Amino acid sequence: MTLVVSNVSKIYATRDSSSGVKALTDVSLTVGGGKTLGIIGESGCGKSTLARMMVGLEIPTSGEITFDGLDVAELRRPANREMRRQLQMVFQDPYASLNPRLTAGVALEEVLLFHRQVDGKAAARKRAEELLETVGLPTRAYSAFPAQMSGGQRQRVSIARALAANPTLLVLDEPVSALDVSVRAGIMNLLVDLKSMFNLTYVFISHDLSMVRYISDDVVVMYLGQVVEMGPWAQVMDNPEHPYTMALLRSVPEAIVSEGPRTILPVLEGEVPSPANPTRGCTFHPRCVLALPSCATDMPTLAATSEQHVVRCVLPFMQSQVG
Amino acid sequence: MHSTRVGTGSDQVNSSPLLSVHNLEITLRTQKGSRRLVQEVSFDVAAGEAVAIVGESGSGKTLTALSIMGLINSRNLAQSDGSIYLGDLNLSELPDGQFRALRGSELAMIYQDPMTSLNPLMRIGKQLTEVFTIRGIAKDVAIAKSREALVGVGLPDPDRAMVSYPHEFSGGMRQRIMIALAMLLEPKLLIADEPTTALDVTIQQQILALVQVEQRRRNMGLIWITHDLGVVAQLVDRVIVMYNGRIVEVATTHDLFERPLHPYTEGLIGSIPKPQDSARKPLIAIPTATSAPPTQGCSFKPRCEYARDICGTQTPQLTQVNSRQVACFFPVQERS
Amino acid sequence: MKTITRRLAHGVNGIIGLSLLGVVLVLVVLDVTGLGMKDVLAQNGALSFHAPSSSHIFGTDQFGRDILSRSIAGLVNSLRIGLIAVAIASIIGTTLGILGGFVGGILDDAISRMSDLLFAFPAVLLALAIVSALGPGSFNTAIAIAIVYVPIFVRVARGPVLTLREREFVKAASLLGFSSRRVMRHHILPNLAAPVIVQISLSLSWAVLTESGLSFLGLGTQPPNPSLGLMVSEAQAFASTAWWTLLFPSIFIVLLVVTFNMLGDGLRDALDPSWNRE
Repeated sequence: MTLVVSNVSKIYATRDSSSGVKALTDVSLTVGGGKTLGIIGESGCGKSTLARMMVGLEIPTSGEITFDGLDVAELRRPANREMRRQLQMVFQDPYASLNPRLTAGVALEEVLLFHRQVDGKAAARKRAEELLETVGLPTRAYSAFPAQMSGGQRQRVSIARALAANPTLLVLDEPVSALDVSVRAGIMNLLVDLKSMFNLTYVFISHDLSMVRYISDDVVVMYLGQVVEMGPWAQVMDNPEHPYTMALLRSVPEAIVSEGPRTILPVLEGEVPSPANPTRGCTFHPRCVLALPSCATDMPTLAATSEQHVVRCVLPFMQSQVG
Repeated sequence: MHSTRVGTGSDQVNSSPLLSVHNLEITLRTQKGSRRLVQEVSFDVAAGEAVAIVGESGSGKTLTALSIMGLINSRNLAQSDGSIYLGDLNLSELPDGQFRALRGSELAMIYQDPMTSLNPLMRIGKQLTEVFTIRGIAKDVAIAKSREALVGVGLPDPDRAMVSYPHEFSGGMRQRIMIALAMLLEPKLLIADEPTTALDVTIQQQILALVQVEQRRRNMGLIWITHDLGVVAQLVDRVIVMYNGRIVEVATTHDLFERPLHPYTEGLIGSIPKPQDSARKPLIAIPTATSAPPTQGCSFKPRCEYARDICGTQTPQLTQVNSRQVACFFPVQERS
Repeated sequence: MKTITRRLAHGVNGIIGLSLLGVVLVLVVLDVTGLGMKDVLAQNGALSFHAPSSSHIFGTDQFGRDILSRSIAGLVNSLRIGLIAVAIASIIGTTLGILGGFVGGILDDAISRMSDLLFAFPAVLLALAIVSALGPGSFNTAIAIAIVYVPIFVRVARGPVLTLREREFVKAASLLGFSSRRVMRHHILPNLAAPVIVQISLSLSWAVLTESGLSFLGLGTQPPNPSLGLMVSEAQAFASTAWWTLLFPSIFIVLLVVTFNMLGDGLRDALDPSWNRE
């Protein structure tokens, strides 16, 4: 089951300015085959908008998103119920992700019965209990309401609910960001286990680079609504080619200590410009220490530096010319 | 009564430390009875030293900070024991009026949400100058110093910033303004309660660099409260780890990361993916707490894989181990 | 459910409301079983205008009818009309509110406009106009009151729906393929229970008052059937000499209004969002 994003743009209309807010500009990517695609970027990069679009909660202004060939926007039709259940999402906020009026068991059974994953109520109950166990919850969670559970437990129920639909692709939008630090590792381990257990494909979105790095096979780096770099994590991490990626990776404070003095140097100056006022040329050039005069006028296109590594910048290609 | 006091990172045998917290206890009174939210917390901070307090929700780290600032004295939530000394001055016995004078000039605090300190209805310039003018300083001097402070925190257009309102700035900018505001009277101690948690990582980097520069330049004491061990590793000299209202470990940054002694610390550090980790190796997951922490014995016991019977009956005290401290009957080095 | 009753019984409003409700229920039982009730219709000239005594605790009216029995019957009558009216209003109003809030667009605009239009009129005046058009009588009174109180339920339901619609669990429901109808019935509606229940109780108190008002004006329950409003209206002429003909029906009107008002306030406190934290 492959999810293909093709030239997707999203513009939110605003009352005053005519051009609107460009949340996403010409984003293309593919995810499938049991791999994990990580999407990283900071405020205004559009990763959350992209996540919502990937599952069909929002519609692109232009371009299309298909899941196994079917336009994701069509998934809301009752006729496409089979496809709909295969593409699911886990949300960030564990407190808003569950219906406060339903126990965990009822919430799971609702999904199981609706999608005919089981035959009859007794089977539904049994499967619900199995799912709860699979996500690491005790059996008494079956009759527990969300109010009686901690953040980590609720998130596990959310994951179980998504699994109840027997999906093939799971979009995880900041699944551990709202949880306490000591609880995150448990959920991450669970996600890794579930992936191999159920042969899932993941799209993992987070602002926590160490988490994305840990779980992803490939990564997409986004800046101000555009993909600026994309490729296997090992390549992007060891050999970042876009100046923003370099800055981003250097900005992550690592939980390891060296012997020498630690003077913190700011890596990236300035702020992310407002998406409502895009600049001409490369979107990153105002903050780029390596910018050339041409960067202010020419918008670079995504081009490959190696088989799987693409970057939206002129610099990597210029170096090869010099040598 | 003086419980074990933590030595400072540097040799400060002759002068008293900048901040000295002894046996701090904070109690919450509810209809169902009282609960000690913070207990037996003692530590020192020297001038020019950066200390982190690490903990999660419920650890008591924020309450401790608020207590130092004298901001928690209500009917139901108050400091019930212990003392806090700023130099030779006993803060716990200071009347409200005198304490208020200290805040800003000797002690300052910055928060996760800058809007806690910034008045949304007042221009930035006015908020800054007010700090000086209410202390009798002339207005033109106040304006000059305020503008200088904004330059110092790296605001690109200080003149425009002076006449702008908080909502016109981004989160990172507001943090800078809050830092400028806190530093105006050159306090000796700055307490920062997760000021960068909500910021993008590149902006966080800028703020960390800024705070470090300011701290070193003024030889200021810094208490940085966070749950982000990455920031801890980069920014501070010493780390205090709190769990459920108590200090469970104290060590220099280097010692803590190289060899954590308390099982909780070990779990925290192990649960963070390092650059070389990949999904093939499970992260160390501290088992979740299924109920409220026990009131008897070590409160970490339900989640501790090394726990034994004594952990349930006796509460481990913070004890000195070489130049470190740990509150555990079976700290890591003795286990192996 | 148990916690709600417990919390209800702890608040002042709840205590008063529940106590008064108990009194009301006792009276209803008396009327239904006929225990201690005298004939509410039989006229007996010889007994007219008897002051309260051991045989007629509330005294008798101009036709010799026992005022206590008539008051109880009138209370039950008002209650019945009020319940019918509020039942209709809450079902229609809540449904429209959910539909408008969830579906949005033109449907929401239409429902909101209609609701605003009805809101523009003072409740009693509007009820008056409707009853005048339909003709007097108990049933038409119930219809009129129902129409007047539909808008408040639309509003009470619509607001929370707009918020709930954006909550992740509702989005998750649509992601799981659930139809809009299913989402509205199983995920939105149950989470609206609290404000709707509170509104039902409050509306009941206003409905009873409106019904009494209409009956007072002669447009509600028609004589000789017992109706509190009607009794008050008729008693006006005799108030100076036979005070009991005015006092006791009035007290019963107040009893009903205060009961459901207090109950509504008590429920509001008991059901407020902090109940989600066990």
